[in-house]
Amino acid sequence: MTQTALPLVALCLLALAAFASLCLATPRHMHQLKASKPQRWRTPLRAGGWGLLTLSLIVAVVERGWGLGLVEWFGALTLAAVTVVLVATYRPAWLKALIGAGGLLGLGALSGVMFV
Amino acid sequence: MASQHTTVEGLPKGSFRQSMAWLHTWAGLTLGWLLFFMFVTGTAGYFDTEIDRWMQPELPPAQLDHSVYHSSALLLEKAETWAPGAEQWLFTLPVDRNEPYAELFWRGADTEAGANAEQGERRIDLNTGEPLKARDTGGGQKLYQMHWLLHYTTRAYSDWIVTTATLFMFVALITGVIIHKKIFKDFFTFRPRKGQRSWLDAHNVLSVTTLPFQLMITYSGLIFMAFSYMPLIVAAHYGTDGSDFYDEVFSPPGLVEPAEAPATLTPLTPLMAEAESRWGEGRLRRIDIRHPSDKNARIVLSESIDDSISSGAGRLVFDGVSGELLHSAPSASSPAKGVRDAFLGLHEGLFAPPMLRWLYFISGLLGTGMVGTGLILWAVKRRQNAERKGGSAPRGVRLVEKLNIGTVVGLPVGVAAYFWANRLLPAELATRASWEAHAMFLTWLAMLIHAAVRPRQKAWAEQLTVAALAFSALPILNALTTDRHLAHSLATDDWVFVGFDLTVLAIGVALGAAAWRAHVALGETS
Repeated sequence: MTQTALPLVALCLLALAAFASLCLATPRHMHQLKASKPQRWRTPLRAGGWGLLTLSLIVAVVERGWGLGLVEWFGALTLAAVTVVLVATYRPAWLKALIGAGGLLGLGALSGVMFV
Repeated sequence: MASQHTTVEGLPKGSFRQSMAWLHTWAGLTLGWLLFFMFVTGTAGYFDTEIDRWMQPELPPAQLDHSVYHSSALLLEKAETWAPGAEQWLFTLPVDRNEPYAELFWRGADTEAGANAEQGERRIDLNTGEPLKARDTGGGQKLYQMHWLLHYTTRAYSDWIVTTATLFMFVALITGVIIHKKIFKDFFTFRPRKGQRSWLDAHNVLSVTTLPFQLMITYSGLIFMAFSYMPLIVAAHYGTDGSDFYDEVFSPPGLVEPAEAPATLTPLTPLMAEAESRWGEGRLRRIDIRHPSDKNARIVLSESIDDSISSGAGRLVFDGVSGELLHSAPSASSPAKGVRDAFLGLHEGLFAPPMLRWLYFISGLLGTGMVGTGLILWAVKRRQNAERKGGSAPRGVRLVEKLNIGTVVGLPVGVAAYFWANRLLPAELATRASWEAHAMFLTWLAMLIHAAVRPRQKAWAEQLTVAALAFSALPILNALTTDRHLAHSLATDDWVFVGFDLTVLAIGVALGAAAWRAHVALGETS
């Protein structure tokens, strides 16, 4: 297979940011935001999380087609979800950074996929 | 999976969910240890070829960069020398990780005409033209095949045992989804160090995050075995023998009986060029020659399977004498075959490039954890209930606990023993490959006996320690018994060996962390 792994890397990073975002939107982890009114963030975090998941699904299917694309998407989702659970359990303070890092690097990888 | 539902002992009365909880508990427990075995060996199977290569360290690096024309000419020459008068010559060309070396298989050769053996299989070194020599081993293939063939049994039994386990797994998955009330709410919830609560959380997280993989792998597993457990559907149309059915569905079209009249085989090059023009360069994977020196010779070329999730390969059938193209047969000869190919392909993941292969492996590991935590949860919950009522754990719970230790930890130790045996058994031992497997099962048995005789918490701590050492010492064993140690592998970009050494090391470290926790728990209670 001559295709590179870059689209899959982008999927994993975007899924990581998406799940970190959804995780911070839960009542159990909301206090990690250190915001004065964390409830205000609930809707944007959930929208962002679901938005990123949708974006990654579109990327997967456009780049790889329905077959391979869905396999890679589900694989990336599993890895990202387990990672976020571990971070939320043992390093909850990193969740916020995970959204930023995963989102930025993911979008970076995505632009690499599209323009290189 | 709210605990108030599943604490019901014996036959439940009441709600649908309660019934499902009962079903989940017992479908999961009854064959849980067998499912654990299937998950461990199946997960290892995602790196079957890589394990093969680690277990034969004498072999050179993969020979993927040779022209298929050179490889096929060499294989043809060897086939003519070693296997004249054969019914079949099968050339496998090294094109991807699934086939790292050129391989010749033959059957029905004429020993009186000078054939080495009636049937044989040889890998050829494309650099020297000589057969590749390496130690006898079951390799990653045998480990992987245990996933569905088991061991010390035959297909007549293993097919049914494995199918039943798969069906139980499927029931456990569906009932698990039904009884898990808060899939979204508890998606990220893991509360460590809280006894039963933590095991339930872990079981839930592992199950929910891998659910797409679990559903795919279990359902496709059932499709794999469909002809075994639903033989009457085939029998109704093709008779109880069924060989006509298999020929029709799986054999290439247009194969004929030999004419018993000698003829010269057509040159392969134009046929291969035709295949490459249809499929693209480097996409020709197999050359299957039937009755090579007969007037009715047929040559079947098969396409590489690594660009689609589907497990089936497209095939071109040529007349072996005139070189005329007789049939172009896509693998999906019918929609049903297409669906089957897709599910089987998804299950085996042969198409997966390295990073996706790692995701398959990780999903398999997490699935192994799902089964393991499920088994442990069953026992923890019942022990906690019994102790809360002031009693001690009943005999059934103690039995499950011992089987859990001896399997959840003991089986991985057995797998490590399989690798140790590969390096330590004498090279000249004729039954080497069998003894590798014996080493695995004898070690597993020893761990089960150890778990049976030692106090529970000590058994956990001791076995986890053994497991941690057995895995993390494998790179050292490799360094001592071969010249392909980790530093050498890193320096020569030998990613198969780097990958194996670092993976077993990581598994060893993870088991070591678990062992440390078990020792701490032991100190707290004593």
